[in-house]
Amino acid sequence: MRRWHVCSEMSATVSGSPGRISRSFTQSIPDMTLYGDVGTMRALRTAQRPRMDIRSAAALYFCVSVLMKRAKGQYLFFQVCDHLNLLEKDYFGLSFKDNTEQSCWLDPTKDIKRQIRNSQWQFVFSVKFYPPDPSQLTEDITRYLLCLQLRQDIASGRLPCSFVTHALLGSYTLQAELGDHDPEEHRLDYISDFQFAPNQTKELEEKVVELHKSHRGMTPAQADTQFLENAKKLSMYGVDLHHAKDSEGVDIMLGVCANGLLIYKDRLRINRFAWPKILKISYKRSNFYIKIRPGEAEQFESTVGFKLPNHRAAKRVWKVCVEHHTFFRLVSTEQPTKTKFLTLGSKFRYSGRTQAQTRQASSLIDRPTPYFQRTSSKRISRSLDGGIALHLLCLCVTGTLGLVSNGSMSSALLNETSLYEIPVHRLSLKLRVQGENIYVRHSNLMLEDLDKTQEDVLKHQASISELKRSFMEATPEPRPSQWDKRLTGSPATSLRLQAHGVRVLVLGIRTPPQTLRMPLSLCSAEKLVYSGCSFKCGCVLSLSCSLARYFFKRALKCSETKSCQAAHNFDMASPTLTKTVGINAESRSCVAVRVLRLDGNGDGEPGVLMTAQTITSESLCTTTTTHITKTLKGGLSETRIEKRIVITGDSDIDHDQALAQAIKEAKEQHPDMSVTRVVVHKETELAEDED
Amino acid sequence: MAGLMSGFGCFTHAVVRAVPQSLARDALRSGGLEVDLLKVQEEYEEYVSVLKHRLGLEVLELPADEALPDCVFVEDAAVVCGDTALVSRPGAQSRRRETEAVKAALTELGLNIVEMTDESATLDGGDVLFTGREFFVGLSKRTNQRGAEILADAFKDYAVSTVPVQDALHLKSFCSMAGPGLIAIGSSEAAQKALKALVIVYRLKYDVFEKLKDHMLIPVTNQEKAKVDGGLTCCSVLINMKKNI
Repeated sequence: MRRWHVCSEMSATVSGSPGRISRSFTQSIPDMTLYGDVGTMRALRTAQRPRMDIRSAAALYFCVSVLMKRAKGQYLFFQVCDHLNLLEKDYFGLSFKDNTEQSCWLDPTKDIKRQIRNSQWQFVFSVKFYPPDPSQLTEDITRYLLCLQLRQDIASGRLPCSFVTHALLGSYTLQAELGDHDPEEHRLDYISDFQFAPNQTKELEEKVVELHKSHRGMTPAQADTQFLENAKKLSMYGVDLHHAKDSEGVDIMLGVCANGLLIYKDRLRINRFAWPKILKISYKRSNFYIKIRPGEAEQFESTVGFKLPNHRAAKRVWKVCVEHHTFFRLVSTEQPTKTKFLTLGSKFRYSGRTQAQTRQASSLIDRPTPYFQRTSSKRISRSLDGGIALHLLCLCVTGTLGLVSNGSMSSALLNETSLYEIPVHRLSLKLRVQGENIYVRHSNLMLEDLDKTQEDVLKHQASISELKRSFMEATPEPRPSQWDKRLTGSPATSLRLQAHGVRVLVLGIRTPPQTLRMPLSLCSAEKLVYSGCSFKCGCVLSLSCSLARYFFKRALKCSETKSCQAAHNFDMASPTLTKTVGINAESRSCVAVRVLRLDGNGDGEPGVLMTAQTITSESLCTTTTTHITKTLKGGLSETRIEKRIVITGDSDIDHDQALAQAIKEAKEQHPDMSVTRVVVHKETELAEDED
Repeated sequence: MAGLMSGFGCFTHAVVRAVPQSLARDALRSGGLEVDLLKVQEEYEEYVSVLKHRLGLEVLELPADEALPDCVFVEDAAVVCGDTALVSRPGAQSRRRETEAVKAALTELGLNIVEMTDESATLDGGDVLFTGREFFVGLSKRTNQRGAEILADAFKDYAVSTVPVQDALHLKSFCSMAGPGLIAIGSSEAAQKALKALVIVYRLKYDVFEKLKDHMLIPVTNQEKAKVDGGLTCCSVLINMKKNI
């Protein structure tokens, strides 16, 4: 019997050598792929218990929700989303300005502290990925938030549009926020609060009103949908622009969007590289490179380089490309196996869900439409039941609270003086309205009026602590949140929220010019929570019931076990992640270890091959091995993922058929990896050679 | 309005301009053929008749101007999209004044007029191809980069991309829109070069059709005008006045 092998392998290089049955594509992974196992939080060390003081009750609020030593971006982000009652989170992100005034995204997988460093802790909740088809979003609230972002983009000039478009979009905004045009109530100046365009003329306002009248009968959700239907067609919709120079030093703009990379020169689009056409993106020093698939008449790929203002900018562009490509093009992001190699270069990968995944998850959303109110940032209304429209626009930090060394919960931490110097009302001044309005569900808000004097504040806080004490002593009632209801037998962690939570009050902050309303968030877990923490005081503007309950539970657990380490290593993201379990059965860790596989598969490219399984049949045996290797090439590290499929047969089998079969199966498994080499050996020994 | 593909290709009005006698002798041309003025006149009349009677458009006929031998080719004088008309600055010096009458007509129709006043900019409407979703501007002997930029500013909703045009007068000398999402392009070398730019650079997908099946084709002769490099689309400016908001 003659044995023969058909071996297909993918590698990251181009093989152009003649004499082989080969078809080669290049597909390579720029830079390294793996995160190490990112440490989880070590926040809680029970050294001393802090003294609870009346005046620090306010500060406690900060502390409870404060971002602990190793809090990851995702934690804060999920808090915000929870507060906004947003389920379709994947399109959004938190951004902040670094010390060069550049906007950066808060990486959800990394410590917040490490990312912020010396910058101000001010975050803006914004749209990160603009969905090409907003009508496919499941929930109205998601569309609403997208509208808010777009309104800001348009008003700031970031999204250019024609006069008519400004007017039309403005008219939908009015319809959504104010309802039908009412000639009595709506005189011409009623819209001066709104900004429809960077330069708003009377003429524009008149046109807006005229169009507003024509939308009679349209519901807010419909108006939002119409807004988006028109906005999505604008040529700059969803395009993230970066200043750069081309290889000849000419000023250009690089635009990253769902479809690929766009090059603009002076408002003209001079080039466009769709994702399927791009084989590799990389950056080195302050240059950004893309490798383009060869055209039909061409044999070799070409590389296009751009010069960015600095290294950071180049890295930023690269990151944005990686994220957009992954989100929009890939079906899923995978966890690669760990590597023992030292990694150089950026390990950054998009760690969230792809659009395909989020859409799938969204299709499972089955809750009644959340109620939310819409108002613009300048006009705040109050509903009659006393609930307040909360504006969560930006989270800010009020300053360093004084360092505390690890492991000790010194009184400096709860230095009442220092904390007290950050009284609640001052917090309001630091909040900056970023122009976006976000609505939250009305919870049990305990609202106070801080127009009072300092004395009153103190008095009030005293009564608060009284309440607090009574809370602590009272038997907590279970308050199952909607999240709890959704947790259905999840494989999630032991940190699952139990029903025996503490009764808590949800905190809300209102932006100026309204007065600050600050109920307090009370939780006995606080005691443990900030022991041993050194932190900058970052505050999440509202603390949800579930989180507080979570803390409580952790606190209980911590107090039970005397040892610090085990009990205090908890994954901050988990509790919030469990909330998403209801939608998505996968439980994901916030440790992101993802491999970006660039889509090297263009349209009409035949022979996509990849398999991840072993198929054995009577006559055929297929084995797949995966190799991940890293090489250093001139300072730029490159990762290859190779999957070798060896098909062994014992008899005279049609190897073409076998190969075709393998290819077909592989394609089903992983549609976006491509075959680089096919080698047929008719020997018993398979000679392997690598490039 | 921004990118209403469904309304693409629908027009209600057309602006045309009568043939001046001076065309036969003085119109700009690349070849040296003699032009029969009577035939040109006939062609023009048939063309207008088709627009009016077979297509049901409301046709605004502008009078000829003997001082402007190329004035019949009104397309080059303005670019109309939605409710905005960009009055261009033709690349050929002798044609600059053609825009006056066209501008007046478009103003009368109630369009929002944008004028190209920048003296470093030139643009012939015949170089502008609107696909319904974006603009392609041919950079030719008559249209330059600056002209394309001004067009981009006038139509902010849309992306404007440039295509090099060589060996032909205008971009639309060898291609045009044949319906939503369908570009008809010739097989000449110039056409193929431009097609390459469109396909490779801008990744326009294309299939090659031999015949257009779902279209009603109305053949109209243009032979005489072709002697002065006039195409069919050159002879009119098409406008959709229907409010589609």
